[in-house]
Amino acid sequence: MEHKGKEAVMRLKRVLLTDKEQIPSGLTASLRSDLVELLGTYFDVEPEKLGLEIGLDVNGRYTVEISLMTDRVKHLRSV
Amino acid sequence: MGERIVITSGKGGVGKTTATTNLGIALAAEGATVVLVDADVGLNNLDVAMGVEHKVIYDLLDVAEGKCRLRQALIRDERIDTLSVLPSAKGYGEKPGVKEMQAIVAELAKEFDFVLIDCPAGIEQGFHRAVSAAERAVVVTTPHIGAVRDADKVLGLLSVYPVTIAGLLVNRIRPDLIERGATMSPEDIARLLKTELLATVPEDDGVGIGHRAFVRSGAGEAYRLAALRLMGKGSEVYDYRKKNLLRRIFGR
Repeated sequence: MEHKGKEAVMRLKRVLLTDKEQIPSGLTASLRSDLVELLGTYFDVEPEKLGLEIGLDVNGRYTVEISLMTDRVKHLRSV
Repeated sequence: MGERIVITSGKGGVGKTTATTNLGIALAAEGATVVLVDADVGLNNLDVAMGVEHKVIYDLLDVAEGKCRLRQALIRDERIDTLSVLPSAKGYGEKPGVKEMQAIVAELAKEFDFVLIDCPAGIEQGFHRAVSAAERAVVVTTPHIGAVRDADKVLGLLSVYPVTIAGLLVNRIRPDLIERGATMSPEDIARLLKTELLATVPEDDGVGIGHRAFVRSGAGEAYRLAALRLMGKGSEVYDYRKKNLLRRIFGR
């Protein structure tokens, strides 16, 4: 019985991680859309060339990797 | 302006209503004016927990529908005159709506130092109604995997509201089992949920529907320290380990 506490902690950790893997539906699409709009202010953006990866490490932390290939930087005008 | 605090959990049966009752008593005992709002429409029990069910004439829904003034629906506690209850409606439905709930709670916050909102179980409309009216949240759980899992989901949901997490209240802990390594500790839970502990409340035979846990030992002391933390007057969390050791040595 003495080890049940540690087992419970490990089991809980696995349960919480599994739950976190299920990213809310629509979040990725919504985030991608916002990124295209934001990055489009600075670069020529072709949506299909925007890379977006959302991962989860063993500690339950999300990692978000964004990558973009573009041919042009936009010149910002100051008024 | 008073503080509006929702007591929530996700999972039912972990002790939200009991926690709301005893936090309210503890806050009032420390000098605050407090009102407890039962936001559980349909499965309401705050009136029973406070022992005022026989005094209910008007309720939250009556106030929302304009059938009575807010003051008429408040029930003052018999023993602590700075503590009041706004009972909930017995029926179920979509009312009161979010805006009505927010307006009622905001009105109460003008008069009371603390408005504690007893949130219904679940994460549906009732949860949204209760949380939308709050500025801080206490998340209640017990040291059981299902309860902690639901608390984790609630913490995730709360992140989209303009609500500050006041802390985690781990209820019904068994210091003897924790010491033997037979169950998770509140510290384990707080670490996994990445949330600060507000209170660790030991399992206490004196706590239950219709009873008051406010005695200066066990659960009562845990709630007293939690109230001080909520008031910003203390930082201590009930030390269940020390109390367990004293109990083993002195048998009390």
